[in-house]
Amino acid sequence: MLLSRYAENAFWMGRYMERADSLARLLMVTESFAADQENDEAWAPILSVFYDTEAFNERGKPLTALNVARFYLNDPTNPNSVASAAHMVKENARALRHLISTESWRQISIFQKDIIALQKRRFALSQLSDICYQIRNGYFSHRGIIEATSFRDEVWRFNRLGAALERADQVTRLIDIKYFRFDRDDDHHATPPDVAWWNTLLRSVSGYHAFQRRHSFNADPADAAKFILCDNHLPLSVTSAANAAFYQIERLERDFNAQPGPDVLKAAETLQDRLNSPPARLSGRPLHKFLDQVQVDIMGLANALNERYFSPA
Amino acid sequence: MIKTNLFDDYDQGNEFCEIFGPAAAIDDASLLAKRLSKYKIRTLNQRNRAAERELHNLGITFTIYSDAGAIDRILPFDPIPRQITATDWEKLDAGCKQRVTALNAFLTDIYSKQKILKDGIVPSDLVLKNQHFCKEMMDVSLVHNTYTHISGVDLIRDETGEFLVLEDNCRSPSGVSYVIENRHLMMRSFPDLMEGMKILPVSDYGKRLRGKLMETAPPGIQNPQVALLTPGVFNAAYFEHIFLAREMGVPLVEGRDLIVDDQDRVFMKTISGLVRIHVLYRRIDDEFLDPEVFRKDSMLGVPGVMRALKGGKVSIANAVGAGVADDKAVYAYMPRIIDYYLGEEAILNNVKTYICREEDDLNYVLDNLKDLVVKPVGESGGYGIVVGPKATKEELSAIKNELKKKPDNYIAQPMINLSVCPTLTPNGVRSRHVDLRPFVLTGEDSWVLPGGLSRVAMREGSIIVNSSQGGGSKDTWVMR
Repeated sequence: MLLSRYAENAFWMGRYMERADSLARLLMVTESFAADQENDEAWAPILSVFYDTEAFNERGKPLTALNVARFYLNDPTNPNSVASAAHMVKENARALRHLISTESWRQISIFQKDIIALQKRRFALSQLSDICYQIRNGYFSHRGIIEATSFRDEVWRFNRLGAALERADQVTRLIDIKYFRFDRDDDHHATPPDVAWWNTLLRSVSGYHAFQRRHSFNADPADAAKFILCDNHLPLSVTSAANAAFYQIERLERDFNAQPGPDVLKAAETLQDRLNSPPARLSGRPLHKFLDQVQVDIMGLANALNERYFSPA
Repeated sequence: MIKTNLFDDYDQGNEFCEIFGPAAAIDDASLLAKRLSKYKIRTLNQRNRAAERELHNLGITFTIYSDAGAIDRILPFDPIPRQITATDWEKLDAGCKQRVTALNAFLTDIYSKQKILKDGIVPSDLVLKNQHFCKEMMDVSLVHNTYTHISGVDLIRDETGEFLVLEDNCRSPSGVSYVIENRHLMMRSFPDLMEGMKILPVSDYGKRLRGKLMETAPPGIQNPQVALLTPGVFNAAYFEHIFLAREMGVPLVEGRDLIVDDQDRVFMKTISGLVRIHVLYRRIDDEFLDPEVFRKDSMLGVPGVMRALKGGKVSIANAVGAGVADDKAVYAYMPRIIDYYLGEEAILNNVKTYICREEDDLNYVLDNLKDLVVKPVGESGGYGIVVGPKATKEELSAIKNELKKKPDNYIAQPMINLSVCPTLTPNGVRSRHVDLRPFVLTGEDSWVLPGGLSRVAMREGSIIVNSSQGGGSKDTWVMR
C-alpha cells in the first residue's frame, strides 16, 4: 500500500544518511594518514574516487587539505558533501513525515541544524576530526532512533535497503582511494599502501580489533582487503551490506506483496556472485578492477530497483 | 518579601476577558486564574521558550520557501490558555452544527433546484456570478448532501461576552493541527497547571475525521479507502497535511501519485501496483483540482477526477464549489438562510453586516467609514481589510473611491472590540485580542471539536489575528 514516491523517499533518506557518515569516515582516514605527510597530496585521491576533480577545480581554490575537507564537509553546492547529504536526508524525511516516527524526524531536524551551523563556521584543520566525530555521532543516534522507533513496514524496508546499498558502495570507494592509480598497467607511481594505512582503514570501519583477533600475527594487507570487503561478520563490509540489501528485498516480497520482478533479482544475483568470487589476490590492479565492478553491479541493482518500485507505469 | 501576582499589571480595559469575564464584573475566582496568578513571569518565559524550541524540533511549523532555501517558522505559541465554560460550549456546539447544517442545505439547493434564489431570499447574481460558484457541480448528487465536510466557523466575542460569527470557512479551513499540538505542548510544559482540570479532550480529531469522511464514501463500499491530497512539501500548510494523514492513518498523496482510469475510478500508484481510492480529502483549491476541467496548467491536480466525482466513483471533501457559501457577501444572508431551510432562529448571531451592493447600506457605509471595518468579498487571510478607526486619511479616501467604483466587492461591519486574553509579551502579561475557530466535521451528521483554534493578535491593540499577519495561538480549554 506504500506509494512508490514514498518508497523512493525512504530509500534515499537511507542512502544520504549513510553517505554523510561515510564521508565523515573518509575524511577522518585521510586526515589521520595525511598528518605525517609534508604536502597536501594525500587529499587529491578523494577527488578522484568520487570523480570530483573537475568540480573541485571549478571552485578555483588551491588543492589544500582544508579546501578539500571543506568541499566535502560543508560546501552546500557540492552535491556530494555532508551538508548536501544532510539536506537531502531532511527533504526526503520531510516528504515522509507522516510515515516516520516523530523521534526520528526530531533527530534529523537537529542533525541538519548542526550541519548548517557547521557551514557557517570557518573551521581549522585541527578541528576536522572533532567535527567528523560529531557527524558520526549524529549518524549513530540516527541509526539508534530508527532502529528503536520505526514501525517495521515498507518504509522501514526501503530505508534500510537504501542505507545498505549506499554502505556497500561507499566502502568500495574508501578502499579505492589507494588503488584507483592501478587503473593503468604501466603506472609506476602506483605504490601499494602500507600496513599503517590499512590499520587506519580497519579502524574506520570499526574492524581493527576484530581483524587482529581473526588473523595471524603477520597478516598481509591483502587479508585486510578481503576482511573489509567480504567478511560477513563485519557489519561495514561490502558483503554484509549487500546481504542486508538482499534481505530487505526478500522481506518486501514476503511481507508486503511487493515482488521484485526478474530485473531486480538478476541484478542482485550478479552482485552476489561477484562478492562470492573475488580475485585470488586482492591487491594492485585486480583489486581496483574488482572494486570497480562491484560499484557497477551496485549501480545496476539501484537502477533495477528504481525501475521496479519507484517508476510505476 | 512582597508576594507578586502574575496579573498585577494586567488591564483588560473595557473588553471582555476570556479568563476574568466582563470588565464590569471581573471574576478571578476560577481555578485557572488562581493557579496562573502563582506563576512567576520568569517561569512562564522559561517554559515558553522550551515549548517553542520543541515546536521547532518537532517541525510543527509552516514553511516559507525563498531563493535562500526553506525556512521553517512556528506559529507563535502563547502559554496562557483560553477557557470556555461548559454552558458557553453547549451553545457554541449547537450553534456551529446549526450553521453547518444550513450551509449544506444551501449548497444542495443552489446546485440543484435553486429554490432560495427563485424565492428571492438571496439575490441570484450573488450566487451565480460568484467566483466560487461551480457550474460543473450542477445536479451532481453528493452522499448525504454533504458539501462542506470540514468547516471552520470564525467567532469573536463582544464586550458583553456574546459570541458572534465573523465568517464561515467551507474551503479546507486550516489550523486544526495547532489545536491538537498546542494541547500536547501544554500537557508537556504545564502539567502542574492542568492537573485535575476537567478539560474536554481534543485528541480524537483524526479518528473522527476519518469516520466522517468514510460516511460520505460512494455507497456500497465495504471499507472505503480515504486519502489526503496535498499540493506537496512546498505548501505552507504541509505540516498540517502530514499531521492529518498521520492522525487519520491514511495515505498522503499528491496529484502525480494518482490516476483516473477509463472507468472513471481513482487509483494511487503503490509499490504493489494500483490501489483504489474512494474518498479524497483534498487540500488544494478547486481551480487546481482537475486540469481536464479547470486550470489546464495545473501540475497539482488529478486529470479526470471530476469525471470520477460525477460518476459517483469517488467522493471529494470539501465538495468542489462549496466556497460560494463562505463568501463574505453570502455571509450577510446567513440568518435568513438558516430560517429558510431549518425554520429556526440562528443560535449564533452574525456581526451586523452592511451589504455595499444595496444602496441604503452603501450610503450608510460611505457616511460612517471612520467607524466601520470594510472587507473585500472573496478574499481570505485578512488581506485587503480596512479598519476605519485605525486607517489614515489616505487609506480612507482610497477605500471610498473603491467602494463607489465596485460596491459589490465589499461588505462592512461595525468595529467590534474583540475579547481579550492575558498573553505573555516581552513586557509581561498583557491583554491581547483573540478570536476562535471551532472545527465542524460533517458526514451523515455533524460533530464539533471541543474548543477550536484560539488565535491571538500578538501586537498591542491589533485585532488582526491571522497567522499570515503575525498572529499566534493559544490552547483552548473547554471545561466539563
